[in-house]
Amino acid sequence: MVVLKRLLPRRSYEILETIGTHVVLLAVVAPFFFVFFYMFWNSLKPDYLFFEPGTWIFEPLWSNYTDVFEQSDLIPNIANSLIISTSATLIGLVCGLLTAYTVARYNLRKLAMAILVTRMIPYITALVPFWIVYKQVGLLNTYTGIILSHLVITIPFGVWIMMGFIEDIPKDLEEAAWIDGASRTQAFLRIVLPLSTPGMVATAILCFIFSWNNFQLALVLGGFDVSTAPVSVFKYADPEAGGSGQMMAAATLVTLPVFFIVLLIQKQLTAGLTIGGVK
Amino acid sequence: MHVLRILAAAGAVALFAASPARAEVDWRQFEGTTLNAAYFTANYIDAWFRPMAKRFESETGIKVQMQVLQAGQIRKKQDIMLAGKDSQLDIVMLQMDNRGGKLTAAGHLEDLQPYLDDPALTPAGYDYPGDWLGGCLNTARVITGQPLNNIVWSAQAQLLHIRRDLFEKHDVKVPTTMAELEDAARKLTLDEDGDGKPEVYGFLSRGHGRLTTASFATYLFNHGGSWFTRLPDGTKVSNLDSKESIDAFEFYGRLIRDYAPKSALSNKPPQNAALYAAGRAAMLSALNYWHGLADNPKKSRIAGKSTTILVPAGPGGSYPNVPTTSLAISKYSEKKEAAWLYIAWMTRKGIMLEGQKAAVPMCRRSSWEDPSYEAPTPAWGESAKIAADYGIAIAKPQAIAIGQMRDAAGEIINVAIRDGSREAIEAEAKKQAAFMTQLVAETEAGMDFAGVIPEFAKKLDGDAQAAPIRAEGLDKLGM
Amino acid sequence: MAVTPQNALAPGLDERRARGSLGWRVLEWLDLQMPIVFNIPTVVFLFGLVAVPVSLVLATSFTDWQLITKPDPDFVGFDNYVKPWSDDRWIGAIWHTFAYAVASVGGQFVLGLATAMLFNRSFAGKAFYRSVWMMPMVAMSVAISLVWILFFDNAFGILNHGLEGLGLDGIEWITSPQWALVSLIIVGIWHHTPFMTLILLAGLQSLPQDPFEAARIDGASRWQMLVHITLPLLKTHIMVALILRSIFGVKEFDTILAITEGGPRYASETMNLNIYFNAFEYQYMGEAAAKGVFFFLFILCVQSILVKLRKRTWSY
Repeated sequence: MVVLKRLLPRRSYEILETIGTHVVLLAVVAPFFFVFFYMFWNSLKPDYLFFEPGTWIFEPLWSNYTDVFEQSDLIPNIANSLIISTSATLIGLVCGLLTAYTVARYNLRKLAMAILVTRMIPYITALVPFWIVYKQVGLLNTYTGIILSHLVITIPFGVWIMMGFIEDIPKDLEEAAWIDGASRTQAFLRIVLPLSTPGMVATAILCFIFSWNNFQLALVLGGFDVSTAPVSVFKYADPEAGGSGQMMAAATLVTLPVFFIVLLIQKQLTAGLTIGGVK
Repeated sequence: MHVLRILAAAGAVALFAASPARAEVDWRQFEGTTLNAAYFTANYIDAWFRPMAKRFESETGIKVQMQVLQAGQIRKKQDIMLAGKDSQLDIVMLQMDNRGGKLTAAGHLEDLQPYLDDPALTPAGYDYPGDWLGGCLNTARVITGQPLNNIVWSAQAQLLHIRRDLFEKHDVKVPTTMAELEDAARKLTLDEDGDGKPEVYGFLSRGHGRLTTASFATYLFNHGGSWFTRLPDGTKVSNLDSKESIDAFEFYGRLIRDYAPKSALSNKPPQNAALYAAGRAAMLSALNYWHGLADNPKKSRIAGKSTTILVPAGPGGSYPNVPTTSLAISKYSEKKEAAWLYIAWMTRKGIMLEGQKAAVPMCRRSSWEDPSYEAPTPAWGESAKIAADYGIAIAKPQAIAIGQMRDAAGEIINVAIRDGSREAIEAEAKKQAAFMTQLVAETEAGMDFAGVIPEFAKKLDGDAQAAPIRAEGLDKLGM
Repeated sequence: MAVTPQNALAPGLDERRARGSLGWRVLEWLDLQMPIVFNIPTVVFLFGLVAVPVSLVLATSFTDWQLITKPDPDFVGFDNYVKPWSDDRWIGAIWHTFAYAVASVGGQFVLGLATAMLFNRSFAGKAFYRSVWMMPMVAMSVAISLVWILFFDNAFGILNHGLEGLGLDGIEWITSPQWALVSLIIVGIWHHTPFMTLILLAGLQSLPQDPFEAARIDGASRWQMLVHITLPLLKTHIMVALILRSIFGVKEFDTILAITEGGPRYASETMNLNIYFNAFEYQYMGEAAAKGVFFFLFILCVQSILVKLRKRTWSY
């Protein structure tokens, strides 16, 4: 590299370097992308071709998708998941912001630790107890119930990510507002809230993803009326549900919504995390 | 294909329904009710239960909400809901030979006899158990003296799917004994381009963990082995360390190791079926309904080339394995009558016949013998019916602690497939058998849990083994 | 900066106290009670939800409750806490959990750091590469497991197809005890490296430039700069990433259940899977609860160590 830099004229070296960078990037990104390409490509395969891994060109079989539409509750459950994950994310975000702010400004380390500890509970063990409690209070098989259960995921995550952002907002700004006569609450609303928006966007995306992907809680606490997308997809882990082609079609269908979300806001996601820095 | 058949049949029944009804049952008496049904994933759920639920709703005004999950997940869901006495669950689909004992012993399933006897709820010609095949009825009760708490509706027999074109082309004798089976597997492991990797594997069956017990069962019993046996004093003990059982493990392990692709070790039944349908195996030991996949030109490369026969007989005889599926009602349902109406509707003669025609093998004798019914292949019709009539539900080591039992048996099969030496199998069998025996003592004390023991089965006569082969005209091959 | 004493009014508010209108009194009250009021939603939702189920788990762990087969539990003391330790399968599960977490989080970290440094450079099409890179992070575990199952197939999977194309022997990825856990670790690394990248990238972008300039003038090599400047400066970010990821790592469940079910021969069974099978396949709720309590303590220990390491740079 260094030798090349000396030998070549500056312009050529820059071009070479650019090409080199892209080659490296492609090499790094390709295997990660390939899985998704494979997912989509194979969702159009007739089942017998799954035993000919070398065959890449074939007549697409769109009926894999229509079969998924007809033979599962995936589509209504994707809608359910959108409702549930969005609600859980919003509540988690509000709780997370408020708690993160007080943790940062009042140094409530014990609270922060207690919240982290809830994140460590292996919920597999608590699923049946959760079910019992839910049955007692009539939350089984309801949106409210599943949304509440997802708070167990979104709140701790919200608090811990938001903490980093809040810490990075200079205190002087708030203090200046105080001098101007604002109360702490007013300063929080006028100064901290707007400044932490990029961080909140990033946090929201992460919370949403974790809630969207959660499988066990909705499986046990949901029911005949309310269920979520991962529950529908897991049906296809048993290929008896319709073969490998449909399995890939279902996987593609649940992957698409989050993809679009990420494509739309990936800039805010990285920017958000960068401004605050997750500490 | 399936859909078409179902639609055609639906039309036929609509005509039938329009004719003057003999019905004492008012099918619309529970109009407006919604039933919740917990079903496990199976191809007949999508192909049969979904369209039928729509029709049931239009005929009775009762809506059936189905939750369909992978078997392990739905078991969990059903268990939690039943143990928690949750009234939201109405209809339970289960395999009696799997969890039937456990749920029966705990009393979670409603006694259906009163509903069956009620002329306002059961159509006059329903004819249970008169119209049911023997093998199915064998599986309906697992504990001596238990109430009738399920209606067994489908008999998915474990059969041997064979590529008739390959047998004909290579003139290989269609096997009726275990020795012939191995011979055929060897001859039909075909490596035509000589690269050391067969294009067609001779034999394919499950080799994956606890699921293996279902395919292995027939080989176990045909070798003269069994999951459990009773000591002279009546104690139920594991029989997996007997000589016959170990013979069976050795044989099954060798067949998978030598004649199946390595995928067999990870494949679940549907993947095996797909592999077979892709034309990569000459014989597949699997449930009879997979014939539908092999015969579906859209999904298969061997449409029209496959048929089924009984799993060959062994030194112990021939015990077709019939894992049946039952419908039951949760004891805690608040809509038991409506739930029963659904079960009675789904299992009445006309509907069962339609299902039979749509390639869901049913438990009603009349569905098989109806003149309008035509089996997909002669040998399929013959072998599936013999199995449903004479078969026993031996797919799993039946016990209250079914989960552990299946894992224990799966362990021995693992060793048999991977290691395969007699000593290793014996050692593992001894270890697991001791564990199983102890577990039975712990969990079934004071309970007459019959499970399935070969003496319950009607003995298959010698000729039956060859009947399907003859029906397909394959009996002259390899002579 | 000195920490503002708790429960203090904003200084500006003191002067206005005289006004005493209702609105100001509310604000004043809020100022004084802020640490409590602001945490009400979190505490109510989070701890309210968790408290009863967790107490039930604790209570269950001292009984022999079984879901269907023994619905009326008896008190059995500490039996459930003692029994697992003579079970090879449980001991194995502890090792697998540990191995899985260390290897997958380690792999994610190395790869995450490398890619974060790559993405920290400026080049055309960065947004595109970054979006693609982030895709695994958002993908549903259940869905991507289905793809990996197909990859891993012994005879017809794309991986073995590739290996055999290179003239090598195929590997029994998920059906041999030696490879099953490795395969899951590969999936874990694939799935979660982007998250690591993201956090480390955020860290890299917030680093001051001066130390690097100085080092460059001193003629330090890239490797020296990485070890002596980048890593020390990134320490807080690294610790956060490790803490979060290692919690997820030891608790990984969906992909393992979907891909290997803990098999073959329990070779890839982690504690979480073991508890799951105990509770739902075998229905030993009591034993599962006791194991769950231990599992929780296990995570707590690992985390305390990580948090201790982090403490040196605790920023508040």
